[in-house]
This record gives sequence, structure tokens and C-alpha cells, in this order.
Amino acid sequence: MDQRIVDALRAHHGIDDWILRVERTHGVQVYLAGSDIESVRQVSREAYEVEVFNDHPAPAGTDGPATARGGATIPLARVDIENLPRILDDAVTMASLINNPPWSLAGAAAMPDVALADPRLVDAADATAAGLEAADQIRELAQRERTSGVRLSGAELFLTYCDAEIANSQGAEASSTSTRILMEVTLLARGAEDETEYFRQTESRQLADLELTETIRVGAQLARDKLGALAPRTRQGPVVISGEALNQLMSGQVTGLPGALVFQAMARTAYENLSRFELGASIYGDARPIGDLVTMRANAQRPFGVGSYRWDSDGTPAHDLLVIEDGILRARPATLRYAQYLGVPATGRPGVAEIGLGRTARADLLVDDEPVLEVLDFSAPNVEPLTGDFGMEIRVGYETGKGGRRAISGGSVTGNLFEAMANARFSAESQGFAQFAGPAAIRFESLQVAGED
Amino acid sequence: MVPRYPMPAMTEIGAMALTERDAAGAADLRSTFGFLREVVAEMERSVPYAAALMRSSDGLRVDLRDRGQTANRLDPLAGVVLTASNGYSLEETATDQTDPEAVRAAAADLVARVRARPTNGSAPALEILPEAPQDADYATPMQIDPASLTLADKLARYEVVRRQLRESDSRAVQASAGYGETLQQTVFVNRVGMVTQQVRRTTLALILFVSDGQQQRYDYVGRGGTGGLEVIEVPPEDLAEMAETAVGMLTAKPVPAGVYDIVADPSVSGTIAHEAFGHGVETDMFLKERARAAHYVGQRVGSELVNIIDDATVPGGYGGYFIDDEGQPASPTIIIRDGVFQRGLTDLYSATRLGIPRSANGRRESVHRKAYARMSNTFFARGTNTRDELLASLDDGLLVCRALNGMEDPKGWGIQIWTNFAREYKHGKPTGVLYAPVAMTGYVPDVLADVSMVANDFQITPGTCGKGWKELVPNGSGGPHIKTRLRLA
Repeated sequence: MDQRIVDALRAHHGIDDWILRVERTHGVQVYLAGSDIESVRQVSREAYEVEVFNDHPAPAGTDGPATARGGATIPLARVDIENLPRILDDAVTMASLINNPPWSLAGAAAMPDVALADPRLVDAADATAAGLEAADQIRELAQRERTSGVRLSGAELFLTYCDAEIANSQGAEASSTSTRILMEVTLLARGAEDETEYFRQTESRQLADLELTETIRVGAQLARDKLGALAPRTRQGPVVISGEALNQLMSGQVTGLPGALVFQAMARTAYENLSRFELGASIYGDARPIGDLVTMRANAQRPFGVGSYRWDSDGTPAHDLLVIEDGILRARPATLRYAQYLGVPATGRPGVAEIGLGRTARADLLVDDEPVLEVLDFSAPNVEPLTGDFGMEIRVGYETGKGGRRAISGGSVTGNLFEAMANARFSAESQGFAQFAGPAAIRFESLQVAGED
Repeated sequence: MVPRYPMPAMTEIGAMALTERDAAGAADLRSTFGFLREVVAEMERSVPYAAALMRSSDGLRVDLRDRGQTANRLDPLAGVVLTASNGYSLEETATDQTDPEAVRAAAADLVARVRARPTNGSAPALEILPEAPQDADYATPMQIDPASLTLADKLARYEVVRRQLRESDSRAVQASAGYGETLQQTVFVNRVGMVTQQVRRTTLALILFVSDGQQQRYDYVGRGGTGGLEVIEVPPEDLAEMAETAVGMLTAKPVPAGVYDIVADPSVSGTIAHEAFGHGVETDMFLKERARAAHYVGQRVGSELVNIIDDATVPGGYGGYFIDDEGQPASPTIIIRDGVFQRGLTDLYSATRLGIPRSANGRRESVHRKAYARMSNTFFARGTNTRDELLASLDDGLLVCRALNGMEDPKGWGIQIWTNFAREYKHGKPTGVLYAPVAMTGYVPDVLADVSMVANDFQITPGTCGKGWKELVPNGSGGPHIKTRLRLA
């Protein structure tokens, strides 16, 4: 921890509380265009962030406590450290203009041990070697698929190591080390008259979790199957969503917000009058659920989970929290501030959303008198966390029925996640992603499919 | 057909006099980072191509809600990225240490690494011939400098707007106002020159959340662009319309699945342009053989009414700049002219590999990320009809409004766009029926071939664009209202 910053924060009379966060990162980025290395980048950064709090009289006419707490978060560039007194003066001015109900920081606490770092990526030179090795492996795996008309379009690998520290004015102090890997891979399949692509972006904390062999094998298969795929029939009916498509439905990758179920459960959402869930009540509202009931944990201690951590940005230790049990909201994931506002335990930023498995074999979810659409990949995740509405284009799917199985691409699946979950069955098989772990597939009994009339 | 839209020539921008403050800023950048010329020259003694980019940001983000306020500084993300080529590939080093000694050391390390790298097996030689930049200093013109208001003034101004929105209807449960201002400073140096730019962006997002006790809906107004407070002014009638729409959405129905005649508002038409012939013509996609458009240069891809342009110099466009992150001076790129695909949007690497002229579209999320071919402001050019004429022509169709997001499929030419709502029109008149939300999908050539009317209005809406789901950069999209056909659900 940089003592100059700590001393400056302690010495400033306008600062009633403070948090200091430091991150030192280094990493390598490897880019493949086709099978050629387009670029290799080495990146390093030392990032400081101070959050200062100023307590002052609440503005006249405000309901509630006589004192208001204002906060301002100030990320610092290296050059800023030389100008710290002026920057802290500005920060206090900002905080003094902000009026929030009071809340307090927590003091020292024991932090759980959570496995977050791949030892191969700790040293910068080792990480570069590991990145180039993984790129070679991708090239080799893609080369094996060439005999079936599939080739590598491009790939990106970002391998980052991070040392993080936190301290606050109440005596909390902690550190953690973590690694993070982002991989993007694109495969192309060539048919007689057309070409298709498979695109995957995935994150992990360990190289082994990229599962390169399986990713390339499955990707090549999906790209091949997409050749000659047809749009689905327009209808309202059962849809099985599995694999990456289910991750897209359950995670909040585009908006930056958590998945819709986690968002609705969060203390902050409730505090802002935006939650449709009530503690102790059914998440299905007035609907009578049919099928499997949702059980969900927000697990920030999941080993090597991308959403896992030892402590969050307030310094709250990671929790493994039972949020929903058999369709009933049991607890709200709550960061320190919103926990105090709502009078619930502070459990920190939500971790990985872990959804309980069902009892039905994945294959049995596809059994029906009518053909069943199974979607394996949407174009993009697109679930409104506020309303639960979603509408996503089908990248790859299959229609399975008595006549066999045909590949589907194009058209869309739309619905409302909260309504759809009230009539759904979960597979017994599991899968895991960066922010979501749970069933390998879920069958929703009534979703709108738009395709050919 | 000559595209009709407000577009000053680059020479006009270059000739613009800097304000006293901007001139001082440029002088400071030249003085502080003048050493980058020597760094680049030293690197080029050992490698065939080298360049340096310094980038720093500063800014403010204010978020106002019921019982909750924040005011935060934006991450400065200051640093230098050094680029070197060994004649076959590009390598880079990015560091947040911007002092001369640290940058020189990083440059020496990079050169040693590049020279030691094998020449990439079968990869052909990469000959980079920098044609730009000239020595120049640029800065965003502003009418109302955000610095003319104190933070207290800004908080008060936007809290008044927020409260007005919050109190507009008894069914409102929350209203938020998000204000942002940024200054991004850039110094680019290669062997032919040194350019500085100071780009200022201002944004305002207003959201009204409503509930009937059973369900929640929202509507929003987003304003933003390069410039000062003048680009985020919201007329009272827009706030009133937003409140009315949000409440109306509580009784809105899902749109029956089918193919519809639609009129797309500028946010939706811009998203169509962005997803259909924006991402799909980023030439790094050509290089990776991901873009079907690569096979259609010079061919018809839409109706004669379709003109799609990318232009970082559109006044006020949120995605605007003067040079890209690889030193290429900005100028308009006509992607589709009269329905015929003209050319793609390039970064340095893909333009060099493909042997095509560069456009100013090499952009980075920050110095910590590489440059890719990226859009700036992408839009349909104006047509000749009025908006009302487009709506009057809807015999049985929808006015689709407020794009929320979209996704490209450059290989398959599929398109997915998610919008907040659509208004039903029959016999050219609104029926009062509102559908929400609306998912639109289609096959790009069909969507563009079906463009049957283009209005003469024009609006660029601010947004954030990713490459896939990362590499986020400020981006503008928009244009006029257009009429086409799409599959909705």
C-alpha cells in the first residue's frame, strides 16, 4: 500500500472515511489473424483508486437523518500522486455536494481463502510463453479440423495477472492475487455454396479451464452444422436452451449488469424500488410454477470462478449465499451500503450465479410428440434485467423430432425469463461459465419462436 | 446521388482556430511528449516501422436517483503504447509510465523483443508506409463549456430535470439522471509527424421507471456528443413524451411474430446501419475471412435509396475525433453509395495486409488494448421524404423506436436489434397500440433491398460499441427515419 496516499487521506480534515484500492497488473495479449500471429502485446499497469466520504448536514427539507454522507471515487494516474493534496481537495468538494443516507465502513475482518490464480501466469515471461503455447495449440487443433472443411479465422488470448490491495479508514486491510484469461476464437466452415462461422468469447482464471480441445471440437461441429441450416417455424411452444445459449440467457454480459435473477434479488435493486421479488415470497409472483423450482446461490467463493473474489470493493469478505430456495427468495446479495439501508446482512457483490440441477436427463428434455427446438448459441445475450424480457437471434440450434434432427439458424426466440421459469425443467447434467453455473440445459414450455411463416 | 448530411471537409476542421485554453493544452502536450519523436526515431534505427501513442482521459460521471447520488472521476487510463514491426507482424508495449526514462526503456525492450521474434513462418512481409500524419493540433469546438458550470450547478440542474420526470406520473417508481463529461487527450508520433488532439464528449441519460404493481417498464432519453453542454439539451416535450410512453408501456403487448413494414426512428436506422454495414465492413474481418461483404465490393447490396457513411468529422457526433489511434486523419468514408458497396473501414494492419487505402478507423479502447478497425459515427444519409410522409405510407405497419442494442453476424449477414417499443400505424395513422419490447431480426441484403423511403431528418445518437463483447469505444449511429421490412417478435 502506498503510504504517501494513506498519509494524505488520514491528514485531510474534510475526509470522514476513506477506502484505498490498488491494482498492479501485468499481462500478455496474443492475436492470431488466420494462423499467423498478428500482434503480441505486453501490458502493465499500476492503478490506484481512492473513495472518500464526507459527512455533512442533510439539505433542508430532506426526509430522514439530519446528516448526509457524500462519496466520491477518484481513480488516480501515476502522475496524480504528485498532485495528491489538490486532487483530494477536489474529491472532498465533490463528496460534500453528494447527499446520501449515512452508512458506515466495516473494520478489519478475516477474508476467506479463495483460489483465484493460475500459478503459470504469475511471472510475466512465463505468461508470455503460456500465451504463445496456447495460441499454438489453437492453431494445431484447428488444423486437425481442416479435413472436414473447418479452418481458423482468428483468435485472441489475454492473460493477465493482478495483485490487489485494499485498506480503509476503519482498519480493514487485505490483499489478493488473481489471474484472468480471456479467449476469443473464430472458426469458419466451408460448404459447397456457403461459409459459416463459429464465434466464442470465454473467460476463465486458469488456462486449463479454457478446455481448448473441447472448444475447438464443438465449435467446428456447430460451424459445420450451420451450413445448410434453416430458419425455424414460427410458433409458440417448447424450447430447450442449452450450452452457451443458456449462459447467454442467465448471464448479464452485454449490459454489464448481473443476470436478471441476480439483479432482481439484489439489495440495491430493492432499495431503488426496482425489484419484483420479496424476501420470503415466491419469485414467480402469482403464477403457480410447474416443473422444476429454482434454487440459486450467489457464490463468490467458487474456486477459480471468474465472478469470485476474496473481498469486494468495500472490503466485504466473499460469501457463498443461498439466494433462492425452491422458488422462494431467501436472501438478498447486499453490498455494505445497501445492506445497512435495508437492514440485511452484508454479503458483498454477488458472485457466480449457481443454479441447482434438475432430475431430467438432458436428452429426455427433447422428447415430445412435436418437434422440439433446441438452441445452442444465440447471437448475443439480451435479457432485460428489470423486466425479464428477452429476444435473441438463433445462431445455431436443432429441431429434434420423430423425423430426425435438422440444423436451425436465424429467426429468434422471445419471451419473459421470469414467466418462462415458472414452467421449466432443468437437466441433471451440469455446466459452468464465467458468471453462471448450473444445468446444461433447461426446457421452457412456452416461448415465442419467430422464423419462417 | 450525393449523400445529404451535414459534413464539413477535413480541411475546414484543420483550419479551425483553437481556443486559448486548447492552444495551451496542445502546447503542453507537445512540450511534455515531444521526446516521443526521439523515441520513435531511435526505434526505427532497428526496426522498419515504429510509432508512439500517448493517451489520457479525464472526466466526471454523476448519477442521480431517488435516495442515491454518486459523483465520480472517470479512470484516467493514462499511458503510452509503443508499436514496432519486424517486417512481418506488429508488436506493442503499453505502459502507464509516461516519463521519458521509462518510455525509452520500454522502447528498448520492445525493439529487442521484436528483433528476437522469428519472422512468423509463412506470413508474408508487412511493409508499412506511413502516409500521415502531418504536424497538427486539434480540439473539439464547444458552445457551452462544461467547465463554465460548477459541480454544484450541474447537480442542481440535472436533479431538477430528474425530479420533474419522477413527479410526472403517480406510477413512476424511480427516475435516474446520468451526466458525463470527458476530455481525451492524444499525442501520436510516427516518422512523418506529431499530432495532438483534445476530444471532449458530454452525455446525459434520463430514465423513467414505472410500475403498476405487477410489472415494471421504463423509457429513456439519451443525448450526447462531441462538444459541450449544448449537445445534451433535452426539450421539455421530449421528457413529456418519454413519461407518456413509459406509462403506456405498462399496457403494451408483445408484438405478434411476423414480417412487418416498419419505419425506423434514427436510433433504430442507425443501429441497422451499424450492425448491417458497419461491423461487417471492418476490414480486420476481411483479413480473417469473417466478412461476407468482402466479396461484394462494387456490387449492389441495397436499394438505390441506401447510402451508408462512416464519418468521425460529423459535427457533434459522439464517435467523433480528428485522427484515429494510428495517426490517420479523419475524413468521411462512403460505405454504400446508391445501394452499391464501395469500401470498408480499416485499421493500419488490415489495410496494409489487404493493400487498400486506409480510412481513419484504427481505434483502441485504451492504450492497454490494441487498435482494431472500428466505426466512428455510422449512419444512413438523408433522403428526400419527410418523416410524416414515411409514416403516412404505413398501411399496416409499425414505427419502431429507441434502439437498445444490436448484434452483427458479418459472415451470415444476420442482424439482431432490440428496441424498447413500437407504435402501430394503420392507413397512415397511429392506432394508439403500443408493442413492447420488440426484437427485430433479418437478413441484411433483404433489409437493405427493402428500404423504400428515406426521410430528410437527421440525428446521431450516442452509444458504446464493442468488438464482439469487448473493446468498448464511444460511437455514434443514426441518420434519418427510414422505411423497410423486418421480422419482428
